Amino acid sequence: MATKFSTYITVKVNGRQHGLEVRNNWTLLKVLREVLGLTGTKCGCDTGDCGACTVIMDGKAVPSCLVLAPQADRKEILTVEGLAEGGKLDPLQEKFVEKGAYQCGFCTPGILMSLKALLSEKPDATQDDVKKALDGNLCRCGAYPRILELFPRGEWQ
Amino acid sequence: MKNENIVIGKSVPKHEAIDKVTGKAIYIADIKLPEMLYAKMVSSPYPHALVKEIDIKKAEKIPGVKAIITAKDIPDKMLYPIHRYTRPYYPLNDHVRCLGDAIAAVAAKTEEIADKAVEQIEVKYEVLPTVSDPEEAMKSDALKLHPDGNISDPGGKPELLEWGDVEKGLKEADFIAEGTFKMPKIIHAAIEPRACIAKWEDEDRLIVWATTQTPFSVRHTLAAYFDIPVNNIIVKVHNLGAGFGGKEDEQYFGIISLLAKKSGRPVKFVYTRDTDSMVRSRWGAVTKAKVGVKKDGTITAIDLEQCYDVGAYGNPDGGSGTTFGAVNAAIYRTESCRIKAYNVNTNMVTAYKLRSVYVPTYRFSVEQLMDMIEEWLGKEPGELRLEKNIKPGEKIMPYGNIMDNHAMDICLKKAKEAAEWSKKWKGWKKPVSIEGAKRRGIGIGFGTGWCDWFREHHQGTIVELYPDGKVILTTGITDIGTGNLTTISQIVAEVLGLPSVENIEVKAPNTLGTEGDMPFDCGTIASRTLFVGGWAAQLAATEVKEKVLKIGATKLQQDPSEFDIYDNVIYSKKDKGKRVHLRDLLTEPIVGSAYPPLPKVIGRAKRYEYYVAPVEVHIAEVEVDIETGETKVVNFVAAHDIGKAINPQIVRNQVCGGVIQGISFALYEELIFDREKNIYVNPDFMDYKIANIGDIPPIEVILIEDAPATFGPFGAKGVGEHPVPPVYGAIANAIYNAVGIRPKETPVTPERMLKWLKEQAQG
Repeated sequence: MATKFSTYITVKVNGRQHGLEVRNNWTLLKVLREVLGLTGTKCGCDTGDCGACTVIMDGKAVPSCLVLAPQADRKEILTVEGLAEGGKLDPLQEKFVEKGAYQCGFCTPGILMSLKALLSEKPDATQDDVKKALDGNLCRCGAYPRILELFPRGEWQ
Repeated sequence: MKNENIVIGKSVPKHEAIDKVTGKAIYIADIKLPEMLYAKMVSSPYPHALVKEIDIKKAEKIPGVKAIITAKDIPDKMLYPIHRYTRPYYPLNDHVRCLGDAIAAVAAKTEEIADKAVEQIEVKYEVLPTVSDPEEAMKSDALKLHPDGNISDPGGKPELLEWGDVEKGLKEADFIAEGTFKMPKIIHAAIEPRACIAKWEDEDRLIVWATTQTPFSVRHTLAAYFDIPVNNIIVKVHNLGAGFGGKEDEQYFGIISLLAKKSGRPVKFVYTRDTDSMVRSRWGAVTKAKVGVKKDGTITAIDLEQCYDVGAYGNPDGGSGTTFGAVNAAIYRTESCRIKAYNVNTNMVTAYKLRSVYVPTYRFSVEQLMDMIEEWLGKEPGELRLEKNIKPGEKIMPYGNIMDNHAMDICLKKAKEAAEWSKKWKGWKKPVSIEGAKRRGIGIGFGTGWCDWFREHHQGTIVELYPDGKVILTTGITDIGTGNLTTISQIVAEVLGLPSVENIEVKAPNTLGTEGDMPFDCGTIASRTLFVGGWAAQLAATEVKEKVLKIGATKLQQDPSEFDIYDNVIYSKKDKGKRVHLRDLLTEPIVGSAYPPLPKVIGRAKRYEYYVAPVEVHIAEVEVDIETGETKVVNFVAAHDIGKAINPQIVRNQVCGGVIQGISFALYEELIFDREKNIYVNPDFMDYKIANIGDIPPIEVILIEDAPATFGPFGAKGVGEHPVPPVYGAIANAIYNAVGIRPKETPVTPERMLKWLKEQAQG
């Protein structure tokens, strides 16, 4: 039900269905962090410029700070907390740990989700594909080289 | 140090690795406490103003608003950060000196309500002229930002460091390389905005969850401000989303603690991206540099005259770094030197330290002038610089401290090999290649780092070894995202013969917070934590090992000196049959504690007698498009003498991170202030460009271990800040090779390059 200020939405997050009353001007980022307590997704700018809030919505990587909460109605969301299944890390996560493809870790959830979306579409993604996919994911600590090295075919071999 | 290390030299994953890739890692903004309120600040829309009146009546009435404070509601006391002072400031000001200077703060049940309250607070300002130009601000008739004027040094004098006779040196020179180099204000721009939560447990017990690299400084500042015992304040860091020098002891900790006190509830505050950019910046600087040289290559003078814009509340540390200066300008042997620096307050963002502090001003200028001299002498790039670099064992002017072991020569050699120098370098004024409008050039930048500052500000590290083989490491060292606690654990593991760090539990300000007995450490700054924290940990672990071997030897009735320990088993090196497991030996933990040996101090600036010397050589290959003016770095080699790579992956990551920042600073970053509109044009990520994944070249990192430090933990030297300064020299000199232009200003934007190319064409 929608009122002047809020809407009732149903949204599946990490495989679990939720029915939530959300304010119309809330973002999906706020719903995830504040309402559902899933703080793995980070807020770096709240204006869609840094990618720290990237989640996968209906298969596509999106900056959750630019998705208004009502827009998430009847959608399926995957966040970093949903990557590991049954306690087993996703191969991406394992590789990140093994190769140190992160430093402070703040941008890492957003980057993992952007890469997960890419690999779901293109399992044999190259470094050029990765550069495009991560164009909107900023990392100030400099993890880019280690991330690129996880993928074949490119100048970082 | 030979190669039979057990765990040193291995790229073990960081302790917090799995938490960070699963979203479990806690950052301050993730924390929610019962009854918690949300804070917002009222800050001046004018860079310079007096607050005449604040009316909070409307705001107070809004349901859900629980506390509002203004300057007159709080003790008339200043905040004096104990660690690396800035101009002291009040938590809330009525003399506003910069955009973002807070004048009031609100705590409310939700962020939306707090925002509404801020809108309803009515402020009357007397707007004052904005002082934005440091060279104007220095003049005696300039509008005063602080009672004692705008020059942020005692007595309004410049910082001056000199030896020899610079005027004579310049007169005697056969050639003077000179230039005026400008560098703008830039911001730290960690992806995690600054944040804190304050909660009073009692009248006089406070917990602060803080995004800080220096939790003990925050604790001391608040203890002094609130007049409560230091041990009554616990500062917890959890995971920090990086700091780069910008998250230390800022004003907002005091403001939020005041709100928490007034409301009687925990209060949380998180900066937004555009307000976060107003908290701290790096200086802006103009450097007039001269290097005089004789025909035989003798450097007769190095003369630097500098003006640093340190912003509203900045001080020498946010600018010239005072007398630390010589250590990096005069790492080239010179007969005379003069470094004169004014640190000037303006109404711009307060400048504080940003990774490598003031050193980029030297590297951007002196590396180019030395390159100019090498050309004049007909030498190869880097040739004179290598010759004139202070060698191990040599005394560093002006205090005569002694340069420790380093391998600058090997860094240069290996960097040149990796960069394919002999193939690419075609000669002075000959680009590497020309293809249409694209010119490629190659250039070298040297650097000398530091890593044992404030050894005396580490109160100690405690190592406890338990009968079941578990180790507890208690250290005041804060991990700010770099992995220093993992590295230090490896050092402890190595000493105790443990093949992995799995059984080492770390208690640090990240995990335990600055509780009670946590030994003081001044902070994760100055690239010091590996050396200082690691050395203390090594010594503490050694004490534990010696005790345990003695106990084992006594039990087995042998001489302790023939025993060693591996994987919790104490065994005789002579007779493998003589062994005992820890659990059969101990009933209580064995404890050792140590702090790094205090150095002998010489000279008025308290320099240490020996200078531990991480050194580096960077080589950049750039491509300049002379039609668009765009400069790209197409290849980069960074050779770093790090003594001993305890965790190679961590060191490589540090080097890459610093190189990427250096490239970003040199080519993209500038915080732009519009003097007409009196606002910053680009305080957020949309318009303040930092390097993204498409902007970086392949970066080859070479870790040199040929010259370990002669003291400290396993010969290791720190690395945190050192990858940044040499990037400036390498890129600037590469640009000269590509297009014959020596960049005098950063960032080297396409607009500037096109302007310089035009000037060059016009002769």
